[in-house]
Amino acid sequence: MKQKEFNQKFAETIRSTNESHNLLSLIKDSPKLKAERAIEVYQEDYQARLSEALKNTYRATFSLIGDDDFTILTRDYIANFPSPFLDLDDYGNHMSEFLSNHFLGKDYVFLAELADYEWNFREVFHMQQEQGLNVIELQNLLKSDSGSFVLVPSIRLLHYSFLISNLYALKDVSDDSDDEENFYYEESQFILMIKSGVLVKTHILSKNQWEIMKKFQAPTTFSNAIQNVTATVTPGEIQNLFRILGTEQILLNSNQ
Amino acid sequence: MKKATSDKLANIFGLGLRSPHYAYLETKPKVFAGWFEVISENYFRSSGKPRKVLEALRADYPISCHGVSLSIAAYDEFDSFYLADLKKFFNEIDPFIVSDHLCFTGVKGNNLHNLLPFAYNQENLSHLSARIDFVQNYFGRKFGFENLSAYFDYKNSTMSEWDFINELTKITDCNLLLDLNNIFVNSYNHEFACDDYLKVIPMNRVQEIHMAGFSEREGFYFDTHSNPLYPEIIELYKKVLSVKKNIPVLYEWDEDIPEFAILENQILTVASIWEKTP
Repeated sequence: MKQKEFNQKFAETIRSTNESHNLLSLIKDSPKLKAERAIEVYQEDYQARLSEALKNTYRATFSLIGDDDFTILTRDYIANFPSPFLDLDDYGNHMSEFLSNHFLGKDYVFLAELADYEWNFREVFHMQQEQGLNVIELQNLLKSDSGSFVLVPSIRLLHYSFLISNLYALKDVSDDSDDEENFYYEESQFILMIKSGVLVKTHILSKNQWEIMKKFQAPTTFSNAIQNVTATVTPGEIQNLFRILGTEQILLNSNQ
Repeated sequence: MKKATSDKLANIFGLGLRSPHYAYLETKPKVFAGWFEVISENYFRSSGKPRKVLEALRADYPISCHGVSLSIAAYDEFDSFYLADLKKFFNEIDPFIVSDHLCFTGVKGNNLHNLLPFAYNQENLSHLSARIDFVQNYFGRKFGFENLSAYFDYKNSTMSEWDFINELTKITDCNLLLDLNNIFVNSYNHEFACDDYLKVIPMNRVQEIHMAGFSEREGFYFDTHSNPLYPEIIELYKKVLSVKKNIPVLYEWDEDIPEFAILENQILTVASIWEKTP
């Protein structure tokens, strides 16, 4: 068999976690390791590496469902999604969607959303931060009422049915704490996630603030953004939103 | 073609940069290591903290870039986006050494994230020679290729690993990254003499040495990079030193990574062996 064909069969065998017999005629037993066991070593290593990568990315998911369920989840995910990535850390991009149809996603109703949050966190973590307008620049443009603005790319605007950022924070709570058991999470949440230096920061927004912020995903003026928001926007919400936009410097002047 | 510039190193003893040590290294401690090695794929597409730590570190230390995804022995075309991003990364970091492994890592559309062996025969010698020529021309740099630990041998291998490597370096003029741990693990599992290996390897092409700790599993040795230095690896190092002394040497620790001081102790041990060897 040519090496090219062997490589293909080897990849299939490693993924399948069984049926190594089609390769056994091609490789030798070594004095310390039978050929069949050698294939298993590679199969086990494949599972272990991808599981570890998923555990690194989905630390809160792991922490909330525990070792046994996380092992089931990663086993099922790995069986469904071969990695096309050259960097192992990129593996796991379908987890949220996968959990929506997995029994664990039904047992823990918040899990698909938590996985979505964790994947977004990972993406923002690796992004290049782009600096937008500071408070003074923003004020000057607003005074002249000529500014049209757009959000920098290194942010995410997220909306969940559960208190996901609070659930995410539980990954850092020790096992013997009773915070987890008494935790109330059945409330929707609007989140702004931003790259800030080497960190990822989040701001919890009101629904109105989130809707206004969404409009800045395409270039628009401040007055246009505030119009047509579902509920009445309070001055406090506007003030707070302006403070976030200015201090975090996440709006660009789209006229430039 | 840009050559490795390891002869300009003031201190040949290096360590692998790993994320558990970021916080410590950010305090800019005085460390014994003279250079650091990074896994290229962990940094080349990130603008996150890992990249910031690397940028800060390279101001003080020479950097070596060691890849795990070139898949030089694969039979699929190279990923052009990967090559372009890696080239950009090398231009930004300006490593004194670039390297990857003599292996394939998967097939098109499915990376197995492992360093997988191939048969040592004429078919693969021709194939790898052409691929290495392409890579060295593309990057305009000499690459070092690392020998790997393999848990099986192919029935259609027609030459030994060391003869294959020797031939490959002659044809392609590439360099070698000699992993002593891998030689020892293979020699134990496949029962050959390390001396047979070392006497054929062209030491003038060894641009870097890797040392690490293996583990034992069901009667065979497993290349886990999870332990301190073993006497068997020290013995191999002494044999290399008797042929060529000033080769940059790195200690790798990738599983159950200990605090930095323990890692640093490994390279201090290596340095003391180096000093005592005439």
